[in-house]
Amino acid sequence: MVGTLSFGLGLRDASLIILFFTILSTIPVAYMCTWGPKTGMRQLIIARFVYGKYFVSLLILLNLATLTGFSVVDSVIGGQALSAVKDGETINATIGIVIIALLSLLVSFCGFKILHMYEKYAWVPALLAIIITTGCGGKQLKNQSEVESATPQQALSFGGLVASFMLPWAALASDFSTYMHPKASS
Amino acid sequence: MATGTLLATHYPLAFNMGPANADVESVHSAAGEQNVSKQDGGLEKRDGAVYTSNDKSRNSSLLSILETLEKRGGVELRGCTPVPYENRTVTQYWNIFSLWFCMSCNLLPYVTLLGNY
Repeated sequence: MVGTLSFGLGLRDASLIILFFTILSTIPVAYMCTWGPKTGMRQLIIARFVYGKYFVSLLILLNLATLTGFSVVDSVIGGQALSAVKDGETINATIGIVIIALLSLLVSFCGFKILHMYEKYAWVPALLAIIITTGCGGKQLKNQSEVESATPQQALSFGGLVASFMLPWAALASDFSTYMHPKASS
Repeated sequence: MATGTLLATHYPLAFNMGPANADVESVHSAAGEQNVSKQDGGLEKRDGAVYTSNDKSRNSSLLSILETLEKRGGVELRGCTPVPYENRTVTQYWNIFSLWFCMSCNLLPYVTLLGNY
């Protein structure tokens, strides 16, 4: 646990920091999402008007780096989850990673309509799995270690980590609302 | 498709922000280009939105496959050209919430923020 192990925070402090820094750092992302219906452009195309045609490629490069990191970690844990269905009997983790990566590539090539349709329902099994996982470990959850309350240093550095997890989404915030009607309230 | 796609194709940087700008751009667009577009079939019109005008013939079979995918399966063929005003018709704003919720509701935050790695 990054919050509790690396930063030495208690469960309550870590949870509160995650909650409030997420709320704070998603406000700009949500605001940028409202530019989609107004301009009909994707986020980094809008950035062209600010940074110019060539300098924006630096932003695209940075965005690619962050999102590739996200996708790699996602594929790896997806593949591991797939291989852990029945330990030793099902496919190994490498094949699981390849399967997950290919499936997500398929979805990502399909564009706005299919992505929205897919994401409308895809959270249900994920949420069920998370709830079941929490329930499986629920008996031990009350055994929290006693820690002192968080210092400002701890809170801010962990909060920065949380914000850095949320803020990269700003680079594709309006990608998902380009086909929305321009009269959408914002 | 509509003129918005065509205009955005020929003038990739002259973004079509709305109906007000569409008139201005149609004045700017060269008459010759418009004639060519009118003679072409629906496929050729779509053509420029995906590829540059040079490789029209080379990619026609791939394009017809993509065309079918777009019509039957709702696959999006638009690249980085802006969506024209008249094509921005989706009003299910709730989808944005479900999309972001779905993105956040997986094991990734657990691994990076709370996970055991």
